[in-house]
Amino acid sequence: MHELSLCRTLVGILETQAGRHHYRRVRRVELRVGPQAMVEPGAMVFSFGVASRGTLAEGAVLEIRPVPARVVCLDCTQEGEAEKLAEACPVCGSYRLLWEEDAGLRLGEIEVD
Amino acid sequence: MCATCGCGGEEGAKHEHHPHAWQHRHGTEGGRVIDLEADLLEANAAFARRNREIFRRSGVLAVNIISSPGSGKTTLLVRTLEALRDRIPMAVIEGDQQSELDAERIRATGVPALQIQTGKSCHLDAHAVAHALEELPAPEQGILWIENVGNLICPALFDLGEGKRVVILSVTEGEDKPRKYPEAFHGADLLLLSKADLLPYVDFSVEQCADFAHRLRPGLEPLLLSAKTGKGMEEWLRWVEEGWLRAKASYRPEKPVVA
Repeated sequence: MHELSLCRTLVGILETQAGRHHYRRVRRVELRVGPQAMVEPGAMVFSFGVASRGTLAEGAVLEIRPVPARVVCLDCTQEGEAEKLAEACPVCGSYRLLWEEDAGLRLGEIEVD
Repeated sequence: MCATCGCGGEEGAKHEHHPHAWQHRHGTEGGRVIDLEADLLEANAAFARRNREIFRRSGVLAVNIISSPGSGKTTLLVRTLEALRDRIPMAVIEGDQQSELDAERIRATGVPALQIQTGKSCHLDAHAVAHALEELPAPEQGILWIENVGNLICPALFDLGEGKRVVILSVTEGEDKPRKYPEAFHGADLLLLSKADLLPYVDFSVEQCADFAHRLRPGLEPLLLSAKTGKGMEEWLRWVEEGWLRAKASYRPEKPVVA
């Protein structure tokens, strides 16, 4: 359950940013999740509920948006996107894909009052 | 306040944003919209970078060992320490939820070990390792072994600043593990198939396992190993020594890393 510690970090960022951006309540949080981020959406939503209790983010909607990774096929040099690990190249069918760019786990837009 | 990270002080976001950058957009929930673009793993990544820099300047090969519980991590480590302790300075960081059991097994070899008890947590992170290094300094021009918490899932997400990541899969666990837990294998530099002496008794296809592993990381070759019979140990030790020689070459003692 590393989701809980990630959500604590998330709530921590929301609290720190509150002073900077002048908000008192968070209504919606967008999370951009790359394929390598190892985050289970159900566990994330549950953990966010726990971690945000009693904070300015209590009751906020957690929106989890998957972001595909940029990959290059090592065999035919085709560039494309992958939504999960162990996908085959759509052109030549090779599994030898090099992962170039992954969103990881990023806090995106938030909606606040 | 902690010297490494300042925990106890103000932690968290490092992004400075212009206070009016959000302008006056409104979202579906009726509130004001701000794009924060903050990396949730940035705090860990920052510690990992710092650890990596410490290892680089101290000429240390740091090896992060990941596997499920009971794959034989500690047994392999004990054998490895026994084989290399006369030639290479080494230290071990042990991650477990509870107990000092593993650290005691390591200390019995004469190599210093520090146990990190992660409590409820399922993985080691770069912050925990940074603190461990205050108590157990990385052995200059040597090898720091980091035995992660037994878990094929969560530890894969957290960069510790290691130079090499080794995943151990025991043949009793089944060849389909790379398919089921892809991330651990995707990030691995070496795949060890442990308990190879049990291969005749279990249905484990080395070929299939290698095939799955290649799909996750092209070139990731599995190495069959038995700490019990010694099979594969020579090859494993050669791999370790190669990494160690490379790490050793980056030794820069005159420039300490400042926090």
